[in-house]
Amino acid sequence: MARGRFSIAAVTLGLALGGLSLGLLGADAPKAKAPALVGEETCATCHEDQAKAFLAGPHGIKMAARSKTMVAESCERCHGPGGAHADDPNKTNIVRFPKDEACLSCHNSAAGLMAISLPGHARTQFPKCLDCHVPGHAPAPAKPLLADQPAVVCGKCHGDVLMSMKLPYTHRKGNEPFQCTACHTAHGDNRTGRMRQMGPGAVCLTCHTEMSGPYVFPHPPRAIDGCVQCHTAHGTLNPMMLNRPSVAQQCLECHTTVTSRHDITKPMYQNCQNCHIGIHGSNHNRFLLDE
Amino acid sequence: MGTLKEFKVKGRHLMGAVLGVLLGAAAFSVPLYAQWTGEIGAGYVWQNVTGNDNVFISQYGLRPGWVLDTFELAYAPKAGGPQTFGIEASGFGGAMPDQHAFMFFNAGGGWRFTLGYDRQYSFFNVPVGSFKHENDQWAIQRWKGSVVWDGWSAARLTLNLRYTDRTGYSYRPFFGMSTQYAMKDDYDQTMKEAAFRIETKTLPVYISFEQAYTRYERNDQWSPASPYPLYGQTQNWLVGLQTPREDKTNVPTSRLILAYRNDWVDVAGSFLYAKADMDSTGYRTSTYAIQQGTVGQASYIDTLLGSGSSDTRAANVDATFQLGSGWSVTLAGDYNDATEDANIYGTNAVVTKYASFSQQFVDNSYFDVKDGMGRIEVMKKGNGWGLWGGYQALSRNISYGDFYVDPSVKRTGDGWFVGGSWSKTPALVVDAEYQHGTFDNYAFRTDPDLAQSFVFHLNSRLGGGWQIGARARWVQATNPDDISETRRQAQSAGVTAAWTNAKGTAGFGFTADTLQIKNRTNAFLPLHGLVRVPWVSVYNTDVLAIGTNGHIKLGRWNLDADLAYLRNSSNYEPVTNWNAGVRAAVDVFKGGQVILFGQYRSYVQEWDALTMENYYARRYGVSLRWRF
Repeated sequence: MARGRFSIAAVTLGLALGGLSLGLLGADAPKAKAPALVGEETCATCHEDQAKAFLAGPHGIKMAARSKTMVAESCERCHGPGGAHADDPNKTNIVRFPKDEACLSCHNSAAGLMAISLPGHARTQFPKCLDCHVPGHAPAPAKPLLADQPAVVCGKCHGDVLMSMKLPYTHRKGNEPFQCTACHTAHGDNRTGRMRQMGPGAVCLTCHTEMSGPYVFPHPPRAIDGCVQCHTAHGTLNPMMLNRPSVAQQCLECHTTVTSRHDITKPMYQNCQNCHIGIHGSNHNRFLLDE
Repeated sequence: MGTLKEFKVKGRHLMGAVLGVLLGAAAFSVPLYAQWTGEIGAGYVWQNVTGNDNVFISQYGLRPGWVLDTFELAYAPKAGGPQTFGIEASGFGGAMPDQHAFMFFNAGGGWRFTLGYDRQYSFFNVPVGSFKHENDQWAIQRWKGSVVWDGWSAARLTLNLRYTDRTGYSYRPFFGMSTQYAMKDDYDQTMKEAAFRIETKTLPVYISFEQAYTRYERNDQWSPASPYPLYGQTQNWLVGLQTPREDKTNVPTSRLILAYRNDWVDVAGSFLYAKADMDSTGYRTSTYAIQQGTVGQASYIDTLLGSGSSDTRAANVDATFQLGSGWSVTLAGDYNDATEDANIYGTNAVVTKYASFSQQFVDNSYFDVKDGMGRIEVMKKGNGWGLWGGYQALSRNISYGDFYVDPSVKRTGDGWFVGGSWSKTPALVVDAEYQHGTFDNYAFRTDPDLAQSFVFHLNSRLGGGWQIGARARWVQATNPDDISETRRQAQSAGVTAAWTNAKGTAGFGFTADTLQIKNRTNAFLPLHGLVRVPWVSVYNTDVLAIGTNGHIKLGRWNLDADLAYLRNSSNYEPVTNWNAGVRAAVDVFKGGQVILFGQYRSYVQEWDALTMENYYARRYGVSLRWRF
């Protein structure tokens, strides 16, 4: 059974690498000839405010830093060729709301990495790029060109998570919850690689560096399944963001063979960390009695 | 309220230094013909907490005092062109638990420099138990810098530098001579990291390679914290506690990411190798007075030399093939192999007035986890709709132990999923997915061998500025009665409604969410001597959260308000939480605003034994903001 599943994984990897090779071969496929372009200055004769705001925003700044050609093509890179629209300005002969493909033609690394990090976003065809981002025709409420603060943008769909971050014990910066992007990335990048590759909990360790290990005596749940084995990252009713209301309740679910000298009717034994203080791992004591 | 005097002084010096560095950089790095834009906002907050202010601060970290709301400065040449300098900061002043500062400088020729600073302050107090008078207080500071060279058309080069330190203290129990004492743990922890990255820009394949080197150092020191033992014990034996020791860990990490996309294939892969080496040296001495010192003292000296190493090899590859007519196939594989080896050499010594004893020991252990996953997914996309389904197989091998035991576990599992989406018009966007998974061996007795989940999202833009949404999630995980009879179920559901007028000058939003979690696990309760009683661990929550907010602009006045209600009505620690805020900003001159705000927070536990945690907090503030 196990061998069969390994075979599936091996075949999967083989096919994926094969796909990369085939894709490279397909990179030279002939492209269709593009219709005539009119340039940003022509667009700005009617859409002056939008053009000015765009060029002063992050997109315009980046494009200007790259090349003058990119600035000249800036409008039509997203809205499509404007020749027909310039001759006969109406809503039907121009792309009013650009599709994801327009964004991904420049942000091509995000497109590929999205396959690694969030298949759910890619699979549901929702959100589109412009569900979370604004194009930059006016100042954006949050960076990078986000339609609102990250927690609000994500909370439109992930409201249950946003709600749990209002619970008494959560990751919070004063009044506000942590922004989702402090731990998650929407498209995938190096940090996502770190999150998935180093195992669950690795993203926690970028802040909680003191628990990064390796330890001479690791605590198996943390080493295998990460911090979430005992903690609730998004918010909980329990102090220290534990999954259970008391430490004893948390520990005894796994440690059923604890010896009877631990008389749990006595206060001293109701909090296991009273003695096992190196609960995240110890360099000095096998029973985690010391750090 | 816990004392913060020592901590605040340290923090203020640092705040001044950070702001000085950033403002100094602003003054010297920009020529006189600079075109400045920016914003400065600062204010003062009054705070009144009735009830337990330590619990309020533990949850929100908010205090009275000055606060820098925002500080932004940006420069762009008058002749136009890219912004070349920017600086921003917020939170400095003491009323907020976090401080943030960031600056960047585009030097031309593709060179870009950034410097960031964050400081997070943590305060934690639990009002019950033997530590109710003690508070954990510590702060993490993070410095981040980067140098980017983007002047090469083919690739971008980046050098990232990070420095993190954690200082402060926490209180914990210390166990010795069959008695428990209060102990103070003074933190002295640092992390330094340098990472070099090269990313391609023009090749058909996106390639990113990063080599990082990280060093962690930890020199925490323990000391006795109370003249009295914990839990009402009256005999105080502990007269000394010292832990002069150091832990050092070096972690080089190599990371490679490849991505390629064309009209019919989308492939991405990432690969990682990290090796961590930890060395721990030092000793711990605890000294106890025998018969209040009349007989003498006994010292326990544990001299320890430990080392640990960890190797992690990981890879992910995902490939999606567009087969035509909306059909696509995704193949994915994950692999993660982490091994840890450790050994410790030590001497336990007991030194008394009359005699000394010592014993040497050696202890070796290992801990290996190897995970593999393969997934195939088939999808059909139509015009604004999609259907998908797939199968995945997983394996996990765990091996850990020492000279005496080897509780290795080999597990395989599999699962399937199916889902669909509809997004033909913005008026109705829906997606739903069901997942089912199982496995065949247990690493922990509480592992659920059967897990199922269902998620549903609905969003609708109705026109006229209206938007509504709904979502639901259901997760169930169980294992057999003869293992631990684990039954976990969580379900949440929520609705959203929002409206904004055409100009964006008025709007409101409403959300309501429920979350129910039910957990039960068979366990054993050790009681009185040798008795172990079968016992059931139960933890249930039943949370209802309702929130509403609105804003309106009336001439020179900008008004906004929010109200949130949260209640846990389960039979475990029922609690009610109200949050409210109102804010009025009036334009007093061009670019200038005066802002008045008020906030209310309440936290009310219903169990008599926990009402000592209750608080009612009111905060009022005024701030001045100037945009230029």
